[in-house]
Amino acid sequence: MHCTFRDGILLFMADRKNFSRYNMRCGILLHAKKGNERISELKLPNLDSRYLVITGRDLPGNNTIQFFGRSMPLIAKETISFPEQVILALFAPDYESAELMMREIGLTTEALGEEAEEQDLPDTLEYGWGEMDENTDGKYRETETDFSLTRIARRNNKLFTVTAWMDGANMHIEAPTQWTDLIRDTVERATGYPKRNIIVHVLPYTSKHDEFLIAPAVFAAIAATATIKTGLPSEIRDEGFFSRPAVNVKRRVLLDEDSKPVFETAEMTVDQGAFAFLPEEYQRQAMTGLIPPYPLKGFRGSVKITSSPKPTASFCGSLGYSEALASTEYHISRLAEIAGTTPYLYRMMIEKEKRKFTDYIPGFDMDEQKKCLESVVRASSFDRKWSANTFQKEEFGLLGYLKGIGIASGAGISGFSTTLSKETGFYAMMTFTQKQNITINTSAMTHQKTMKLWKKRISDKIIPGRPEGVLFLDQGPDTLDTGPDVLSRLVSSFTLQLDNAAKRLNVIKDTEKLPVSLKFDAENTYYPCEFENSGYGAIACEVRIDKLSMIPSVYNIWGAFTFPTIMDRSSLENSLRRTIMMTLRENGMNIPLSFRIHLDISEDGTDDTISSVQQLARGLTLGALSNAMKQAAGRHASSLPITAEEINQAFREEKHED
Amino acid sequence: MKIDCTIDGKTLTLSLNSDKPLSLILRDNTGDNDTVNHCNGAMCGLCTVLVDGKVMLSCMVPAFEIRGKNVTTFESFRKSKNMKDIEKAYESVGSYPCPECYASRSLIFESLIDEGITNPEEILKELSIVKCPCMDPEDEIMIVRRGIEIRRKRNVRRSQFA
Amino acid sequence: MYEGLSSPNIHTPKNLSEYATVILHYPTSSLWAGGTFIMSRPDSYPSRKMNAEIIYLGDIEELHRFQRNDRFAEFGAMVTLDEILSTGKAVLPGALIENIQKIGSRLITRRATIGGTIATKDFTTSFPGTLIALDATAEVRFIKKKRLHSRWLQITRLLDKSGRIVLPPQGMISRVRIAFIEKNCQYFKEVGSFMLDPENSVAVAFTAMLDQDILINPKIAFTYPTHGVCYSRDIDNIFSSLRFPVYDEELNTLESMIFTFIESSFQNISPLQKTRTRVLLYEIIDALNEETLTIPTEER
Repeated sequence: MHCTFRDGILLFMADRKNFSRYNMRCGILLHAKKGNERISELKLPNLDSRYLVITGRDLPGNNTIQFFGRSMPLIAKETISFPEQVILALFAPDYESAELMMREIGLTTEALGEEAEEQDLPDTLEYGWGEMDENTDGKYRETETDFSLTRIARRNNKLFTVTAWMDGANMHIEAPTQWTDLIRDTVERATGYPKRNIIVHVLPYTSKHDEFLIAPAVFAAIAATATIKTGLPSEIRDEGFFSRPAVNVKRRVLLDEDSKPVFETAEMTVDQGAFAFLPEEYQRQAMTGLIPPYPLKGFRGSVKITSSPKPTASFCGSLGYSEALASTEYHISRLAEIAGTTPYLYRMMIEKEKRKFTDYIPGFDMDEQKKCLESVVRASSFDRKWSANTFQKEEFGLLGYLKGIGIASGAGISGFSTTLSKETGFYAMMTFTQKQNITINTSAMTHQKTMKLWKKRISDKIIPGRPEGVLFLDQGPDTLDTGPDVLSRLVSSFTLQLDNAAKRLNVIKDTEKLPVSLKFDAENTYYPCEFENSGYGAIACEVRIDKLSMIPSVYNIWGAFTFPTIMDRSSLENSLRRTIMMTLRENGMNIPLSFRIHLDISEDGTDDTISSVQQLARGLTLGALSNAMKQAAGRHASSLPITAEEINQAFREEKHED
Repeated sequence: MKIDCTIDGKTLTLSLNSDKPLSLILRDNTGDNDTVNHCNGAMCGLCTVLVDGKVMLSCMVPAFEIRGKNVTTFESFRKSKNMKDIEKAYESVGSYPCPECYASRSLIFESLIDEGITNPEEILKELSIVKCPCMDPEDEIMIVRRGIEIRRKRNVRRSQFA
Repeated sequence: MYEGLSSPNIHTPKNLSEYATVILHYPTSSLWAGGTFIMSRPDSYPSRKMNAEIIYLGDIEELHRFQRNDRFAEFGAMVTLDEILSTGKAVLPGALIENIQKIGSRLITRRATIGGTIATKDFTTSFPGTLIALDATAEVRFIKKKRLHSRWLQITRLLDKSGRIVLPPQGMISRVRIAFIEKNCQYFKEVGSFMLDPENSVAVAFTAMLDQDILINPKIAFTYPTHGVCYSRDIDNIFSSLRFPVYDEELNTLESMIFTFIESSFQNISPLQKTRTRVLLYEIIDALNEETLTIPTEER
């Protein structure tokens, strides 16, 4: 096997057995339409020997996919837990036959009612400081805010394939995947095939969320089962799917006579769907975003995970930090409204120079974050527009003035928490060979540009001027599991790990006999807090709802970001732009032809920690957008994503009430 | 039915259903899973190809319409000099499409550059077929304009040498 | 070739007489124009519903013709929307140009044909409504007594009671004629995406001659993609009876009459479609009011 690069995509040129498509089985999946149902009848047409149906009972091993200690059935057996769950796979000589035969399959289901399975969910995570005041003497002004995000669960209309074939004692899987080891584990569990003999060939992929984390492993297990049963290469073709959990954050705050918050409680409820993957980590990430940046005498935060018969949400690009950060930013703007000032001026009034040190995020200097905020406020004329919109809204009332501007600012984090890093133990190994080359054994393979930068950074530290002497080993049975490529950890926290390993290897290479290897953690296990902050940003967002179509459009985004190290400015800018655009679109915004993103990116050169650009940009966009939509659409249209239908409904209700 | 056509320079005789969409032909029969999507009517815009030099959505071209036609997918277009012009334009503007829509957007950019379209509205209308939200409109306009300049310069150089 | 799925035979007549021979031989054939609508339906392929015989109209030379004189423009059914735009942008009625431009990318307009946009099954595009407002006529070819006949019909005559375009059995539209009417008020707007969100989309086409403060020969058609075209001479007559500027009271009466008609034709249009229809109506009236109040008659 060898690898090559093309258009920024790493390609593993799999030793794909040269089988003809005519000698292959093509599989498609039957997905559930609703959750919380029982399969009362599954009627299959007469199928000859060229067809194969695989249900939950046909897997030779366990019908489960395990993920950080929690599991989910690969295929629904008697009960359907969530819409889009796989009910069966049908393999045929070609996709046309499979499609036509699938339409002959009769599936009858009945609602389960209240009998839904109890999910094993973690306890509510709580964190806080100070003694809380109950405001019994009415000394403080009490107010509540409510932030909601509706679940997003949809197909991305992009086909991908997972192929399995046998070659002697080896089972080959070809799939786009964000975690090769999960595929090997799942296939081993489902088929009993020894993990050592399962070889994964990674197909190029672009993941906007985490589409290639769980689905490819599920499909691989099913395709491998079909291959074992038929002795033929088997392929499954399906669309990508992603799901963001439903989130609600309720805050209760006591304000002093200057409208400054003094005591605050924040209760976040997250519905992760039918199965919760990594809920404890979700709680930690969310708590980090939930802690406000301003000083408080007392704070109580809680993150509660619930379940419902809805598609399972897992990472979705942020694992809760972005959503929680957006909720905090939304909350600050509501407090500013109460104080009768603009959100920017209000922030300047309540935020101190340094943030409080907590178990989740260090007490960093707020200076850089404030500079970002000032920059977007100036560029967007935020204060003027915010005030004008507020006055106009009061003047025109219903359906008269549909413009809004919102702002958000915050700090970036990246990767998994310190607690999870200690529990998991993902590794990589760097070796200085006798030929004075450096080899790296890792399952983490990412884009060409990142790999190129990694090679340069490593070579600079050990073999200056010879990046070609840094080699990433091909995937094989001995590849070390570096963990999933999610939360931008491979381009952010892993970079730091590689740097540190290179520094240490540079020292020990002169003291020990070659080849000398260094096995290192692929996580940030040494941080004092759960997360290390890095990178700051602010975003302002201008929206307008079209009176005729009721479609909300975003006209301008102003963003200012500061990162400690910028490895590749063009990639960074593109990544920011893409994340902003994607967040706007997935939250129901129309992007008109005149839409512009005005970005100001700077480097502060303070330290070497690199943050996840996506988590930060996503959270800030979501926060700024929520604030802008709140101003434009009023009290009824408060949850994102929002559709024209919902805005129409909201205005109808508002009109009705008035 | 038997369909004779040329796909990426190879003359092929394919045995196909006459109404099979070209996008599925390219995925199933020529193995082009990377650059051609089939979204089943969701209008994703990620299946563009050149048919006799004209950019088309391959999901809307039935098999019988490619008889005797020359189909160029991004797989072969990426090696062409025209693509080099587009890559230069990406570099010059400092923006490029994400890997998901790279093929489709590049082929539409090619059609706009080839026709010399500079009107912003026309450019954005043409590109609006690609639903991927990775590029902002201003960059798209600049890429086309820059691409036209680069192409013109190359053509002038070529005619000088000739 | 695939198990259980027969490959349709493709007939490619080169002229209308060849077409007549084929349709006589295979009377249940499906007609294939640009294919944009057929191919963009979910699950359009593979499908057992697809007819075993397909007549591809793209090679019929007569259907690609375009001619115009000082009174009208005439398009063969296979003239693409892009060709219409490039050849007649300066002379064709604004409502039609606006309608074509609304489609957006030329990747669609280069393939979609004028005939194909009228004759879609179980779905109505925005074009029949616009053509009705423009008083357009269509030449319908049909088989009678084993011979191919043709007849020019107003597009309104092709509408059935439920607002759908219906052609005679084995019939096809071969030409569309659009008169260069001297109507100084032309308006077309499509709200929402007909292809991606048909349940909530609506289009309106309006044409009239505004003379002083009255409308002469006004025509208005609302289109709801999953329902059909909502057109009535009664509504046109109400517009004829209006004197501009129209004030709120009259507008409310007009609105309620129009909604009564729409709801009697289509029972279940969505709340968003209703809101959009209402705002579209207000926009038309506002535009007419503005024109009456601000532009002197001689400049109009």
